[in-house]
Amino acid sequence: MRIPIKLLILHTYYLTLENLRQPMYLVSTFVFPSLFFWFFGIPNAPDADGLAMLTASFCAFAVLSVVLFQFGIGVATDRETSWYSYLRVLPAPRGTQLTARIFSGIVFATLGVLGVLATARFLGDLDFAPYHWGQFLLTLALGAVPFACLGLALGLVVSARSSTPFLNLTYLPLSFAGGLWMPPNILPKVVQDVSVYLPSRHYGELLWATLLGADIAKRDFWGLFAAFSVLLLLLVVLIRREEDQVFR
Amino acid sequence: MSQSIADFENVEKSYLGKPALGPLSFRLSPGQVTVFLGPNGAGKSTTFKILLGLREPTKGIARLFGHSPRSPEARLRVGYTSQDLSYPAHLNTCEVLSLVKGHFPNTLDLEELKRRFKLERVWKNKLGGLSGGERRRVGLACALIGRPELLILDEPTTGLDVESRKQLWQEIESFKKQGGSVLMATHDLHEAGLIADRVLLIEKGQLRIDGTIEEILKPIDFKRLRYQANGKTFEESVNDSDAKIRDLVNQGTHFENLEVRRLGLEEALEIHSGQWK
Repeated sequence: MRIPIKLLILHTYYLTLENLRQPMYLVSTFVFPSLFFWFFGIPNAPDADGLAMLTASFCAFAVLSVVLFQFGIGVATDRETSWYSYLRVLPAPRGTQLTARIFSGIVFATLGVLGVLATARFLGDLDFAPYHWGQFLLTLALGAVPFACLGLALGLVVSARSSTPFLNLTYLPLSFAGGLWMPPNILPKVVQDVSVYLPSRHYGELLWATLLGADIAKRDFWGLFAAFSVLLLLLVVLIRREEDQVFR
Repeated sequence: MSQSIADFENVEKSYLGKPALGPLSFRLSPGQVTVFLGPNGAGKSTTFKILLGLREPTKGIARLFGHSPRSPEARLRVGYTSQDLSYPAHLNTCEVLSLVKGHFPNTLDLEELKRRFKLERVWKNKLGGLSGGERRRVGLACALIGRPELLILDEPTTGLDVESRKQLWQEIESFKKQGGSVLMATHDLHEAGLIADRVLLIEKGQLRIDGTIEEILKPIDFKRLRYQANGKTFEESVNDSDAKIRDLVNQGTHFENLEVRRLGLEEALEIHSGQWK
């Protein structure tokens, strides 16, 4: 069923407002990516291209933070509150709240990415001109979809109480081993071996290639697409299970 | 036959194959306050959830204003408060009411609701810090904001002080006078006796009693008789207390401390449901 734009804006606005009023949420989605980039990314950049690639990595880090935490913890918390049931009694099509959560996530992801880009420009003196930002941002957005599915799926499985540690246990290894904190070639050998199979590594490789205007490796495209297919399927199964258990 | 606003036709609900409700059938007519009574776990909340489209019947049909309870057409005409409604902790009262208001085309004015439900003090307060009574008042304001035709209230007075209860009863009375219908669950028989036009008693998922307060009390018309005779205290329910007293006199029974009183709703319901011999 089509969701009226007015309702979507209304739910997105209030979800965004709720999150803006939670300092810890703002710190983890907006401050941490820029701060980590400033502390660990910029000093380790070997040259201008290296800095651009690390900028791309920390943009991905910021986006993953939002799609995993906001979607995962948000959905896990929603499921345990009667407010969520109450919203379903209101005359709004099913999926309004979930769609609004995705839109609100886009707002915060944009803030996180802008923070990293501003840090790169003003603290890292990155010259944006030689790079392909348009296709990079498109890849950044589309490549985040599998991780959004993962965040939503985890939110449908874990309890509100366990969602934060659980998502940290997902987010931190995925980012680190995927090479989003430092170039993959300086990761420990064992991590490098695992890294090439991780969706976060495929995501990073695609971002670095598009930013530099290089050819993208088919392996990374299909790897991320496979992750998307599996996670989307998992999400659909979990949504159906949720509907069966809670609303049937 | 008057138009029905809600229909339950042989509705049954099972959880993991275990029966929880039904078969249950009833119709709600417009302009009535219908009170659902029953112990915890009787099936009141499940009935409400089915009526609100939060659950689907395992068998049977539930309709709201002739539509599926999940259809927006039906939901536009219903206001609801649950017994344990929680709110987003970081939004304030005004914001939550604005969010709910945005779902309805024809709504009450926020300022009017603020005054009517005495929400001035907490209007800009985050809902995480409200007292139980304040949360209930916000819940009722949420339920009324879309000018519903049917109010569904799940134990709305639980935990409320006397003053807040009276205010809620007044709101229900005023809503009814404006043509609205109310379906409410409560454990409080005094409350049911005060506001109900019709009582549905549900036990173990089955409808035991369905009638107006008068219908429930009239056929019984019992009185509770208590007296002492031969050093013992006797207590019994009788249909004709005068005849019973005449019998005692005619039998030459020496009795004293005679008390006769009419049965209340609680006792009448117990007799109807066979719990009181």
